[in-house]
Amino acid sequence: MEKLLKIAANQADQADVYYTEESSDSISFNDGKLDKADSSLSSGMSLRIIKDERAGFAHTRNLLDADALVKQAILSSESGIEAKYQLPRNIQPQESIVYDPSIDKLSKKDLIQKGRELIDYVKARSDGQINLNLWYGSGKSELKNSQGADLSRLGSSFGIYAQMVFPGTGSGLFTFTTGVRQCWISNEELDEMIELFNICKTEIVPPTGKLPVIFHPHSLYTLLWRLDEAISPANIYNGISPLCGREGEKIFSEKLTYWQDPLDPELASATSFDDEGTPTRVLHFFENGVFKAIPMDLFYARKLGKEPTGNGFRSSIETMPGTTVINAILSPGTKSLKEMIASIDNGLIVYSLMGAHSGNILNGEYSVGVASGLLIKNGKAIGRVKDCMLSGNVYETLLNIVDIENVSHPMGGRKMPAVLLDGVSVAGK
Amino acid sequence: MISQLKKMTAGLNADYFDIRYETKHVERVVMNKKEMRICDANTGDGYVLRVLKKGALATVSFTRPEQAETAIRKALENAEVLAANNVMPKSVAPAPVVVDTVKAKLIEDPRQIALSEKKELTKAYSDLLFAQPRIANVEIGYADVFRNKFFLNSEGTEINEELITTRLSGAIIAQEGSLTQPVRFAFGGSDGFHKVRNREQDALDKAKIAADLLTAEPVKAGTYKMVLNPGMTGVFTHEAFGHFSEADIVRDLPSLRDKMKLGTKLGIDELNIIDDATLPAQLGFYRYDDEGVAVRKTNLMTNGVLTGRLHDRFTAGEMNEPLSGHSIAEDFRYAPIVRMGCIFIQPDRYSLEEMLASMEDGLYIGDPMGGQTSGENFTFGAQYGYIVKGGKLAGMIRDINLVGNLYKTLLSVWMIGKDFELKEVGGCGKGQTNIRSCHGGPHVLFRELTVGGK
Repeated sequence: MEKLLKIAANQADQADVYYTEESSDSISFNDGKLDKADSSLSSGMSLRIIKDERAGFAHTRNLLDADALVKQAILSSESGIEAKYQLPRNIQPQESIVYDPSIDKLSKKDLIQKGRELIDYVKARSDGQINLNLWYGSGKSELKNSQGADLSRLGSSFGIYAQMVFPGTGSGLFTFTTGVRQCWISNEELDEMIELFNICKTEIVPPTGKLPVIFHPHSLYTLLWRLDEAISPANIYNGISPLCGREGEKIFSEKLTYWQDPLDPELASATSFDDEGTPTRVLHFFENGVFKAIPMDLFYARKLGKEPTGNGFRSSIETMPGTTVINAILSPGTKSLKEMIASIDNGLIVYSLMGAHSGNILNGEYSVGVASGLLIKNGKAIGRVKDCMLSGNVYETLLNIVDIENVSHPMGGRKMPAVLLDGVSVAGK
Repeated sequence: MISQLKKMTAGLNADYFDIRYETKHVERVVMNKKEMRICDANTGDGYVLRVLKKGALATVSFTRPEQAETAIRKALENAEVLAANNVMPKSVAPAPVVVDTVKAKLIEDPRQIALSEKKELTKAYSDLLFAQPRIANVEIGYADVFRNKFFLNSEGTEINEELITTRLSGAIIAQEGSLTQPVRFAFGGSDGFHKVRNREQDALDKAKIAADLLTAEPVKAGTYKMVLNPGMTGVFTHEAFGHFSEADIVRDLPSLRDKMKLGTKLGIDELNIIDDATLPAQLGFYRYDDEGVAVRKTNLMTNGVLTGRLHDRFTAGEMNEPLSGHSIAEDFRYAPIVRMGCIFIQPDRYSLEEMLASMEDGLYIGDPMGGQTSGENFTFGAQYGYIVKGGKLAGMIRDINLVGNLYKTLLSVWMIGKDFELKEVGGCGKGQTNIRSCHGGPHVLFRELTVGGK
């Protein structure tokens, strides 16, 4: 890494080298039977150079020839990718907050044992098909640049995904847990899934009209995806986001506060610096419904004439850093999910939706099929809705937040509560 | 390379194993709003080892050759632990031993073209589209992906096959006031760089659709007679039907096995659905899959009756059905899974005019924009469409989302067109991305389909 950086820095004005190495193990049960056990060992390196205010990029899995890789990056920079920014100097990172050494002591036998217990628990209480995936892994990443940055982080991850399949279909209910540490699905969580599954055995044709709908944390991304597109610095810079020039304006219900906390240790991607070496920070995108801030990497911060927010991340070694929201959180409200359900006379709770990626996302529109959702009558969930669609526009829907659940549940890289919205268009067939 | 793989696996004691080493060279250009954002040429490589022992199959992927020993040890451990927990024993269906080298057949080889020329071509399309009325943004990307695959198994099969995929694709965004309307375009294929040249008129047609959408009417929710264009027909065939023809999906959902039993009649007499990756010069072309099995044309539905399924060697063995050669991996990071190659509805005899005349009033649905299925139910977005009145295309419509049920929709087919078109750029995501997943078909008229929404 040092040698590559040295060669690159000699030939360019600035350079950074990013290295990752990880190993992971997974097992899966299908229909209650142990089915697969897989492992992966991977590593790789990427190089960014900046020369004459132009960026160049190259990556490799097996570094055989450092000179050749630098040449590749220089060639790439000749295409004219603007880079008028300075790579950050070194910072003092926080001690690794996302590495639990006990993960490296886990074995497949532990997972199989635990997986069996979960399956036996469900099987004793339900006749549904149960599928289970369990995984753990650890890795490290390092970042060095020509301005003196020398950063590294260790990480570990653990997760379980449990699914119950509705008979005769490929759809079903799921629950999962992921984290830095071992986090097993609790019996309470399984009980909740089993109870729901049993209610789902009754199929109901839903009513049509504007109804109150609870978006469970698992389905909320359908709405938040539209927000992420609207606050994307690329869409703001290109003038195609509906939020262009509207910082400080109230856009949504005052109940909505959507922000990021990169240091939240409950979330697996917690980090004190981004993949460009910029310190990460707490950032409120919407506070009490008011549009407050745009997440930015080095490139877009320079383009928009602002400070970078530490949101430059790489989805793999094969990409240059790009703006990514990290550890997104929707702030909790005041009511429990039970109270929210009890407050509805005629409405829905939706767990999983189909078609979140179709429709005019940038305009905020959504039109989605309900893959699993329940009809609520007089405060009680009474059955699974059949052939049901929801549609609307987040810029109208999110003005009508009735309640937000009083807990924000960690789910991988996000923390989400359930949200009760009024006046969502529901169409049954 | 094959000899290096042999050396790595010498002495590996298993009932069956295979190992695949691949290099993947990608040259790409991305522009957003006239600015160059990505332009580079890079190579990645790695290994995937699969070991079958005592009826248990374990997979390990690794990056560096010196990790081979660790990988073999891990794979054997994984197989042991699976076998000790009495999994349903797996076995590989017998397949011919093959020793072969397959070079890509290209009309114009993208590897012979400089990155700078690819950049200029991308820029030329970007400039052309920006010059059109009401176009606010163009996101455009060029990529060619060269997979060079080396496969070896314990039975003696040794294959080296090249796959080269070229594409130029993106989104054109029209804007008026705060309203934006996106339309996508995608040119490319498996047989060379010429597929992305001289496509200016196709690109301009898309820009016009984007601009026209600004004044199109949002479609009214309801049930209509509908003609789907070949792009939309392809998405329906692939997403709603095709995935249920993948043997691993059927195996993993026991409750589906009865519904998808071969011999079951699910469609009208005129309906034939085929997967044929052997067709030359289409996106999904390949000779051998990532288990070293030659791909073959598979008749999935014949005269409305289920007649075939897509398999890997394990599912074919388990279900006692013929091998089809559909075990495909995204690249060197992944073990293969069952994938479609090139799936389509076979054309029948009607012209579009005849179908519109028969339907009188209804909708014409244009190209797809995202789609998802949950079991037998589907939701597919469409980029644009037209109202059909008295057998003629009338006003343009937008915000179209089709919803339905696979089995009802198969029986709702009314007339099948005589035209035929396959998509040029793929990207099926089933855990991994298959950029060569090809689908298409003719225009198809349905008696009843539902548009969801307000």
